[in-house]
Amino acid sequence: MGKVKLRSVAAGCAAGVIAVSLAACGTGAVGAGSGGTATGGIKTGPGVDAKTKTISLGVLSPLSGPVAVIGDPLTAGQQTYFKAVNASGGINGWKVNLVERDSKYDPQTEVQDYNQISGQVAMIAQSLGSPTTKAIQPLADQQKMVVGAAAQDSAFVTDPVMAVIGTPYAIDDANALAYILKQSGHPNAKIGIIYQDDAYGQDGLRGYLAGLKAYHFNNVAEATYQVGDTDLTAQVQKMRAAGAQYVFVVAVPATAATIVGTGASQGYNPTWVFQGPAWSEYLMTSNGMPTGKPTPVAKALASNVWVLGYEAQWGNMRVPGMQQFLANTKKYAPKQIPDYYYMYGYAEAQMETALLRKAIESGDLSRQGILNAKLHLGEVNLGGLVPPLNYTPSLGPASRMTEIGKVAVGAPTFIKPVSPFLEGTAAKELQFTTSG
Amino acid sequence: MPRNRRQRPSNAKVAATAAVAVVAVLLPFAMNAFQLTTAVFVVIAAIGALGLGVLTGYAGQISLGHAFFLAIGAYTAAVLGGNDHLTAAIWLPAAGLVAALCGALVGPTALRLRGLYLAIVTIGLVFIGQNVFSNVAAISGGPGGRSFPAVAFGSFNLDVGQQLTIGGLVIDHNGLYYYLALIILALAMLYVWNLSRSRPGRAMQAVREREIAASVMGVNLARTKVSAFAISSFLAGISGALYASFLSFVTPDQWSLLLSVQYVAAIIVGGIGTVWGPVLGSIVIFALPPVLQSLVPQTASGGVPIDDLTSIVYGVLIIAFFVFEPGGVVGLARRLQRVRVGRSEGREPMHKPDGEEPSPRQEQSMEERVPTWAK
Repeated sequence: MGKVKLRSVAAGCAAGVIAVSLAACGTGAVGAGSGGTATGGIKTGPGVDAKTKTISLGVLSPLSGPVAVIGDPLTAGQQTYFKAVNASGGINGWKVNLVERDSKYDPQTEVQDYNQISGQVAMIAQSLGSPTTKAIQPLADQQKMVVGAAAQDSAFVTDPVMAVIGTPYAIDDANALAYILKQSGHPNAKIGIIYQDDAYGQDGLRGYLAGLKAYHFNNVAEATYQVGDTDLTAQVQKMRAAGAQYVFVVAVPATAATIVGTGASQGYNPTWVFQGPAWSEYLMTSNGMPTGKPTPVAKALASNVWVLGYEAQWGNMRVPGMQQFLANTKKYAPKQIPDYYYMYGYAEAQMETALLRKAIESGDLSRQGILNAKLHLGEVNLGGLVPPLNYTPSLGPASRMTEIGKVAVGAPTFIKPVSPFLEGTAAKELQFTTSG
Repeated sequence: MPRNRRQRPSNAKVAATAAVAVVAVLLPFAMNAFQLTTAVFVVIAAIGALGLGVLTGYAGQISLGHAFFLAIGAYTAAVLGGNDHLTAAIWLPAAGLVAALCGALVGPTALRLRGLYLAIVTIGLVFIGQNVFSNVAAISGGPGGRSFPAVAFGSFNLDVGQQLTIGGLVIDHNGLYYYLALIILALAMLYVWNLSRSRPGRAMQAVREREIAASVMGVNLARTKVSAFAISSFLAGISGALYASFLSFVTPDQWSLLLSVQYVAAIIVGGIGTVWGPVLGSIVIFALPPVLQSLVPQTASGGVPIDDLTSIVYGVLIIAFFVFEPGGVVGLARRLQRVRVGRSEGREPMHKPDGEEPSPRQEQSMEERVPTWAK
């Protein structure tokens, strides 16, 4: 029974003591980068190189794995805008450099990535996803790191360091109900909802319930599904049995397509109201372009599906920023197909450029300076690609406007407008409180 | 000769262990924030892997439910530390104890089921856990997840931004977690090492080799299996609590089957049925992906295919590893040692693969260490 003898434990302890005293001679590599004052009087911080006049921004995005279908185009959109900014002389002479890390949509990887780059970036230009961004939230709060959160989770709009563009999911649903009421003139329509059993689904449900209450609609059926479920017959059946005329679908594209397909095969064709992330061009054709081979579910989708969102229609030339957007895309990302995540990334980069410009004009590019610029940014027009944002110290969502489109075969991105930006009373009154 | 070495740690082994300890203690001062964060995750994971090492490596009970016990520990910490604001001196041990209790409740199923059947039952735990955690918002925050408390002893906490200065030496938030986890890991390793050569530990190994023979020799199967589950779950609970606390925010889908599989991979890669195996395996399984990724130059021109490539390299490495060294990292170390011993004795070990001593014996014992379910 050779158990550990006291002597070896003592030896171990001695080794530990020696180690600590040895370590005392070493240097601790701690510190979030000290600030300084560059020539020209601009206060600098981590990620800001006054010599080369370069500002480094971090990107934490799923560049591999299943969520890369979102992360890749979103990051490409940011790259395009910043390339255009750099080519036109930068932001008041300052060039932007992106430091990208693959988060794999995994909170642990995200924290590692964040720690890897936080010392060398002025702000995080993109952190994609709710669980991932929440994992770095305490670090960002403590380091006063402004984070461009690419997540429409309501929880982020009440955190000072989180810079979110667009409209929270909850508001989209409330606005869709306002539109249904406006169309029919009376709240007699039977409404149902199928939502994903997670934070995203909960957020959609919240706005849906708030809208029902505000406009006195009948909630005839609610059904949930788990991520990865492939058979949604029971959920569709529930809607059909309740006689729902409008069914809200808070889902991801593959599931949303299954729901509509299942309904069509049973001869049940209500108006399906898709939450933004439920939609993808790839549901219509093999390559996401009108030239591709139509998918089996394309016909059913084109019959009666609305898509909620806050982004402009790709190629809609009445949108002031569209021409510039398409020109930059052609020049810097010629292979890019029409994609709303790409457009979101582009618009997010516009927001960050406005924010950095304000910080430069205030003469403070330290973390605190950038945070101050974000809090007092005020209203910024993003060329109509997404609704104008308004950042104030009282926080809250960047926008409460929603656009409604309808799936159609002929349109360039398979969507034709149904209603321009609208903001209903329920959406106006929706409260956003600080929560975990 | 090998018997001798087993009974009492040789001077060389003590020296090597001390050297590793010194390196482990000094490591944070040679690392940047990214490397240190990775190291913290590895050390925390090693505590959990050590637990699975007891259950699968020593007692031979395969479990794919480790993620469930990690989650139990994490949520115990969340309720006691987050909701009730108790000190970590209470919630950290409590996380282990509650998980151990759950383990002891699951343990009896191993009396009726063995091998792959037990594996499937423990998979069930993961699925039940994920569904329960998604629906009990008061504990887990529901599907959206919840935040977890930082380790705090009285007024001293390990929160982000905390710094401890000892004689001009600054240890930050990451460093504090690193040392806390390292101390727990060292104690756990010492415990498992002692256990492996104590009566209950020998009983576990007897059960692993042949249950019927063990029971004929007077080993109490029920007690041995249940205690293996309890010990394993205790360490998993501690590991899960530390993990969630360090990560600060966790959603229920984090405790997935994949996490369980990573732990199983860690103990097999490291070397099953050893004390150092789970620790070395954790380094390979939990540190290799981020390290591989950090080696890839990431430019603004979108390194998309390269990121996928690192995952592929990771997979290929694991396959290659098993093909060439089924004994894991520990087996590799033993092989190197044999080569060295062979050289110093003026022999060419490569020319005598079937030589009498010590290679065949070692090979044999490695063979025996692979539990029956793996054959």
